[in-house]
Amino acid sequence: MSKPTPTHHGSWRVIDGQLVDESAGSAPRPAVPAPAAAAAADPADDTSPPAAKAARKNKPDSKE
Amino acid sequence: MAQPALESFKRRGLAVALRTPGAPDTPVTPSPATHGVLLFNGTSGTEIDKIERPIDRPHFTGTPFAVGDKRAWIEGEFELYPPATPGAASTSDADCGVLLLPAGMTAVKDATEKTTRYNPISSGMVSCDAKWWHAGVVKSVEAARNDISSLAITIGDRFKGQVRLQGSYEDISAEALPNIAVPSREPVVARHDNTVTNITVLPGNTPLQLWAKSLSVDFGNSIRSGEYTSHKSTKIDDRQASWTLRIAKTDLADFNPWQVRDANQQVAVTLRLTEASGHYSELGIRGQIEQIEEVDIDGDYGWELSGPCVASDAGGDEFHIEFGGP
Repeated sequence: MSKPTPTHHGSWRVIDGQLVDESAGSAPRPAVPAPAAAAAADPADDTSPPAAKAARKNKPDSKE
Repeated sequence: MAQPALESFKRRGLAVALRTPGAPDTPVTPSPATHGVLLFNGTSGTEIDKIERPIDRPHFTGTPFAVGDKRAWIEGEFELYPPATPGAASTSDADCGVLLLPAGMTAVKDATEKTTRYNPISSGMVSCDAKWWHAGVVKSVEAARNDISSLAITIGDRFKGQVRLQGSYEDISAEALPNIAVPSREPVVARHDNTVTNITVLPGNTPLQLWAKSLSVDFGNSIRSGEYTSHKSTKIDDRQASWTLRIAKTDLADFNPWQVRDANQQVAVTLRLTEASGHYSELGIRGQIEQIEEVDIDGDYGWELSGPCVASDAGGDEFHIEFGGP
């Protein structure tokens, strides 16, 4: 019973073990900024432009 | 004013189209060519709110009334079977999904596991528009939501359920039964060699394989019509799902239903039906045992266990329908 069970409607997909709502408005994964470097970067040292930060912030919610 | 020719009661058909989740007030017209739904023993009807005028009169009389809120419903049996490629980017929606989503469910697709899994939700439910043609009369049921009962996998039968679509209607009109394109898939019959049932006493016990006869779920959706100035909708305002499992007796040392019930423990049960192709359909519940009936199952001593479906703290997991691929 450990499979994800969202409690509201969406276009739900399990991607890399994470529950993603593809209807949530932002682009579906793979996520916006360039892959490895951005993922590895320490948020405290993040010098990427505000637009890229915003894009990352808007990544699909995967809380469930 | 010519009397029309008689038409058989069996001349009937259904088409259902889902409304776009982001635009629940925008109607969609179901098309017989693309939205046909295979329904069995379908029936339909209308209901009204009666606003009476009990006028004081010097003689006995029935009470005249005006019609308020108008509702229409369609009921029938439907079958469940896996989509062609569960979990994939396309052809991963089950044909029955058009009936499951307005019953307050959502689909979770997993391309890695090759599963499309439907589970109940509590908000943001999709609604649908339906057209029911019956012997030259057509009902357009608008912004409908559904209830599903007797959703069951039973040995000797196909995976099926009973659905009720309920919404509002404007008028009933004349329209010949069109040529409705319906899915041609014929699901397999559940037998001893293509089904497996497991019960797990929660939390964390090992699943125990049972000899089951059937597992069924009633969604128990409370469908209500709400009307305000400038707005009307049909909603599901509560769900009290219940489950029933018929099994052969187990060794009480392995599973004792009385002990589990009296200890207020919850159980998870799954019944999986696997086709020759490797595709499978699984009905699962999570709930508590309330009633334990000792029953005669084909002459053998067995138990009919039933009770409420109870979700975990996360929610949405009190029952599920999972379709998987090879």
